Amino acid sequence: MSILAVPSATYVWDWSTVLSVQSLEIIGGGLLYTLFVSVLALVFGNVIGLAVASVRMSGRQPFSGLAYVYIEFFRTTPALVQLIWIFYVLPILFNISLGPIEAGVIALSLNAGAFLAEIFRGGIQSVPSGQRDASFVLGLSRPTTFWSIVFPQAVRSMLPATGNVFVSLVKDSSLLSVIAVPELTYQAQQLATSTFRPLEVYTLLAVTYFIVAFPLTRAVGRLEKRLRKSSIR
Amino acid sequence: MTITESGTAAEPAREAIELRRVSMAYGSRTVLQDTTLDVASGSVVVLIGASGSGKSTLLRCVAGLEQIQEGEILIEGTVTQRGGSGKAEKRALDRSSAHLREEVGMVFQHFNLFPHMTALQNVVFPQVKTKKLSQSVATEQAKAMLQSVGLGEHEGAYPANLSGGQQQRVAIARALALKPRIMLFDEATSALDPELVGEVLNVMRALAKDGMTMLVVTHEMGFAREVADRVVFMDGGRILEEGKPDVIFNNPTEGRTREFLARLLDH
Ligand SMILES: Nc1ncnc2c1ncn2[C@@H]1O[C@H](COP(=O)(O)OP(=O)(O)OP(=O)(O)O)[C@@H](O)[C@H]1O
Ligand SMILES: [Mg+2]
Repeated sequence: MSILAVPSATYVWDWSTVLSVQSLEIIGGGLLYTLFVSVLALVFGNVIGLAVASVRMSGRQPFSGLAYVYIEFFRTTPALVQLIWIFYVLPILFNISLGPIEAGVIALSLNAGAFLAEIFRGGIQSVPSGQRDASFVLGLSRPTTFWSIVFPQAVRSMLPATGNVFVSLVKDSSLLSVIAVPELTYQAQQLATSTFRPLEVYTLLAVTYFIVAFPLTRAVGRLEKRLRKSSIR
Repeated sequence: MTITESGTAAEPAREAIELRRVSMAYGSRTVLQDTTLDVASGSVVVLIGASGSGKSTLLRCVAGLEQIQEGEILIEGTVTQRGGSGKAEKRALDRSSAHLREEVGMVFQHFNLFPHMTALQNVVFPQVKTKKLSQSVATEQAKAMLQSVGLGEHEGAYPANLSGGQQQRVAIARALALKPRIMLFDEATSALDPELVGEVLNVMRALAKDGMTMLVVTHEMGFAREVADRVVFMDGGRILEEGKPDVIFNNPTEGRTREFLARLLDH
């Protein structure tokens, strides 16, 4: 046996420091940041997504083309690369200063926005054309048709996918640790260093993400089932 | 077709719907060719013809759901669409005929109720938005309307929890609540189980009796015979033959009409 390998079978777990009030406060503070940036990115992402989706569906060039480029660019490059680019390159290019949290929220929002734009588009297109026909012959205006008839139906079919985006956001927000945003993963790294208990800390970290994300994926699953039932018209 | 036909006085809306040499194409596929048709106020005209002959398209053009390429369409004597009109002219036509769109109601094969609204809300919502009625007045009228199509007890139900026949009656109530003078029916009973067809036809029959102008696409030949003032046979995007029901059904001029009717009876 090499001396470098931790003798796993004989490793003595010690949870006392990790589960102390002090440590849990650090982890809890990180969790709050994680949820904060995730919720913020979900809100901004939805606004971006809806705007981009409507521009894209309008078919009006060059805006529609630009929307397409944005969507595809953010869907095909790693979120980590997007984050680093926005934190290091963007401020220099535009001569602005961005704090880590701002950069992080912007990056996550833009990333989520690209996925949400496609979800919106799919949701809106999934509404049968007969709904627009009926709205038209009933004399409803185009904005009324969109906001009162099409959109509510689209949202229903979009909810599960949007829930999945939120789960991804919670997980992807761990990337913000590389730019020192004090979210869950970053806090755990700090704690691991200060306590010399990385195995316990990172185990706790994984479990914490699971505890947050699992109920969300369950809720999404239930929602999907309910929607499938009610869409049998 | 009785009073209006003989009346020579300047009755402005003698013809409720007029199609003058209308042609319409989806892309390069011509679906209506040089179609001319009059529907007199208060009359019931039934459109029959094989699948793909352009019946739905004709109705959709009248409703303004499709743009025509040639000819013109008039509602109550006013041009609503003119083929080949440019953007500006089209906008002017839309504006000058906007009030006429409210005179035309349409019922679809698949009901197209708003699934996220109850039966009552389906009937209330357009009244509030289009007619600018207050919520309470609209609700009162909607309840009366649903009552008249026999659905007073189901006003709180969502479309998904109603039978096809009930959904279609809600759709009719929703259209009628806007007080149209012209109703278009596109195979209103084709998606229904056979035992539910009757309840919808009854509503349509009552409507015809009330003097509603109706342009009806249907495969229910019994209904056509009984209610129609005129039957129009379409074939390949053209009107091939039209006349009184007993003439069309018993003694059609065109071979194609005879073939079509014979095939219907085989089923
Ligand atoms: N949105 C569309 N795009 C392209 N072609 C279409 C469209 N809608 C209808 N068509 C075509 O136009 C033709 C006429 O269709 P239409 O629906 O008017 O026929 P129909 O007489 O109502 O037939 P059915 O009895 O099947 O309802 C058909 O060949 C159809 O394929
Ligand atoms: Mg049809």
